Amino acid sequence: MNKSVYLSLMNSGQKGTIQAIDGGERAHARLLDIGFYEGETITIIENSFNGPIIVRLGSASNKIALGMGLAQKIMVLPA
Amino acid sequence: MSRDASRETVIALVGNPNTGKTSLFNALTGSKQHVGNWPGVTVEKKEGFIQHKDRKIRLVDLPGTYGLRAKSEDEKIAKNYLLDAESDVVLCVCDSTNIERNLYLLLQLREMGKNTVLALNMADEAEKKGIKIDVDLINESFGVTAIKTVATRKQGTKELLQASLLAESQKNEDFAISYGEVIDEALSDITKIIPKTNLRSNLRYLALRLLEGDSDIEKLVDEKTLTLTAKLREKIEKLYDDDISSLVAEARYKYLSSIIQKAIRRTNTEVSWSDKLDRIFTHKKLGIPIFLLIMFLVFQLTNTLSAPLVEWIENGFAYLSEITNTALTNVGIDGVWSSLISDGIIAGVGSVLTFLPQIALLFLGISILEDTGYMARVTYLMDKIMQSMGLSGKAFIPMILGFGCNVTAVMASRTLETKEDRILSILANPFISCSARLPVYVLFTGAFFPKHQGLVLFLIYLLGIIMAIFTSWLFKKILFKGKSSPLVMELPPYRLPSFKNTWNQVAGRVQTFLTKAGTVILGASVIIWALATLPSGVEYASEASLLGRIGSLIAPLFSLAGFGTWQAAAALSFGVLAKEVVVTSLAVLFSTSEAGLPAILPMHFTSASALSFMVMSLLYMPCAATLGAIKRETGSRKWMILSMVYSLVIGLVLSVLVYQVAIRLGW
Repeated sequence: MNKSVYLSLMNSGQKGTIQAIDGGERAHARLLDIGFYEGETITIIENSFNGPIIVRLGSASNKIALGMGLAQKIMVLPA
Repeated sequence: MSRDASRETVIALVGNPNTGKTSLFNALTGSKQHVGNWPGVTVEKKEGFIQHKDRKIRLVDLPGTYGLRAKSEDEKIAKNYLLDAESDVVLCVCDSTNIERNLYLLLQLREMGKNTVLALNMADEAEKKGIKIDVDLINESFGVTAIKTVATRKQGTKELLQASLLAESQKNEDFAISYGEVIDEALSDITKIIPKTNLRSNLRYLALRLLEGDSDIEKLVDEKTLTLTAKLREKIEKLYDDDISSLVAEARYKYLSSIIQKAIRRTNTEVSWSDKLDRIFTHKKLGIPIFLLIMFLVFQLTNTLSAPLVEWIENGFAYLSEITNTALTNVGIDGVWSSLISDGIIAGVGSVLTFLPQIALLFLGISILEDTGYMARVTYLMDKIMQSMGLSGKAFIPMILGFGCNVTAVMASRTLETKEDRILSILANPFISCSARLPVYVLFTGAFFPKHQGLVLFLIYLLGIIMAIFTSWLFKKILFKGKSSPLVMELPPYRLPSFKNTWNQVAGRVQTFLTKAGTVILGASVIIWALATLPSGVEYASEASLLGRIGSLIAPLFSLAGFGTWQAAAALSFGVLAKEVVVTSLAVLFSTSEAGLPAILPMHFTSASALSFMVMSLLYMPCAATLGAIKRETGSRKWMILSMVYSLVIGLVLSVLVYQVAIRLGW
């Protein structure tokens, strides 16, 4: 059984399912609007562990660049 | 506002950022609004008119938004318009290649009760990517009419107008989704007591927004409704152990995913060439060097390619000046009037028009970079640097627009969420080198650094970016110690630039420039000429003229920077009207010489003072229009004055520094 981890700690190429989103109301609302919600699948395209992380939600063709601060608020269950 | 008798149909364009709303707006109305393959280009609502058969249509392009909760200024514009203004039909634009994300907004529009037509834009790209969309199922599920469009090629625009007009005349079906028994019941309780408002929305949607705690709507209802919603909210959040906004959003996504599963099929899942390109352009070590290299190449190409064109224009104006002089003498007009025309107008306006090819070519380059989607990657790259200084990478987005014009850039600061971030961005933006300053650099690099023109230009632009970032960092330290809003930004796939769009951008920029030359610059030329001529009897453009006296008054300020001449001081002073006027002033002042500016400048400047003068022109003060924009966007004169004083100090310090270092290097 895998344990969920912070998105900020996942490696490039890893996939998973979003488990929980913390963070203030503002940050939370923005993440929800752009498509981060519990149950959505997420692929880490690029995480250099220094600067923003690039992810793909579901099978969308747009990728999303996410600041580290936000990536630390998202819990993901690695696949 | 009531409908006028001619029965104009109002259609509002809504959609996520970067779905091609503005391209569609341009395709439908024939306008040439700025578009780019990156989010946040439109920050204002724009209107256009269409005559379709016997119907008059007013089309309103709203800034892109992901949802209707309104956090940043530009999103507020979209939300408030939808709630307050009358639109007969809402045209929801979605990017077909990204349709799963885009339906979230459509769902909310339908919940609001908007009569909606869906434009499945970029249909060609979706097809190429093997994305199959069951249009009938989408129509049925949302109660809309969906039309496939390719805005950049004007495909589907007629069908879209027809569908919109048809939707206007048809009854708008009610639409609601279930949020689970408890929330549904709460919503129906609230709708029963909600007072009448002028908002153009379904009651159930308003009830939902109240439950989510939308302060804009809370202001419009009575105490009784507020008490009830607060009570219900508390009950629901306790029951589910989650906040209501998450519950609502998750219910929506769940509902959407059931539709998406049936209606959308992706048949092609291989790694796209776009992802491969990103491995290079967003590379952790090479990303920034590649960006710098690209910018350098853009400047180098701009100079190399424009050189012959500039020569033609220069010769053209020299010839024009000559024949005008002859013609004027022949008809017996000489002295003052002849001087006004040839020394004032032709020299002044002509000096600036000479740089038209550079401006057009630079914008060709920038427009191509924007269109491909590369600028979004630059923002990602900059976020690393800016985050490390406690700033938001998002603040870099308005800066990109600043290369065109600082006024637009200051306005684009609206995309930032907090007032603090907006003010930082507004103070930093004027340091980004706008197109109006290009003539100054081209003139001076041409005269003093002909072999390294591209390199010097590149360094000046780089200095502008560095000073903008430094400024945000400094004011963040001094004024706003809080956290900056984190970056969340979509990276669209790379796209080939469309010829038409690129052409529109460049043509638009050229048009703006020509208009400015015919108005502000022409006016400034005449004023400067007059000040150089008065009081009557003095030698033209001498130190005894009014202009000479004004210049001499200010000149000592610049002596440490190496350009303490009254001419330079006068040029900088009038440059505040519009930055091109720096060149205009010099041209008017030195026009009595036959040799032309590049030959005469070395008599007044050295390489070192030319360099420091360029640095000063870059930094010393926002132009009048930008100052106006700063005042409007911050809502106070205080920030405008701060910006003036601060940039003057920065300009002086850096130009002195550059000059002193340069002379010690023996330049």
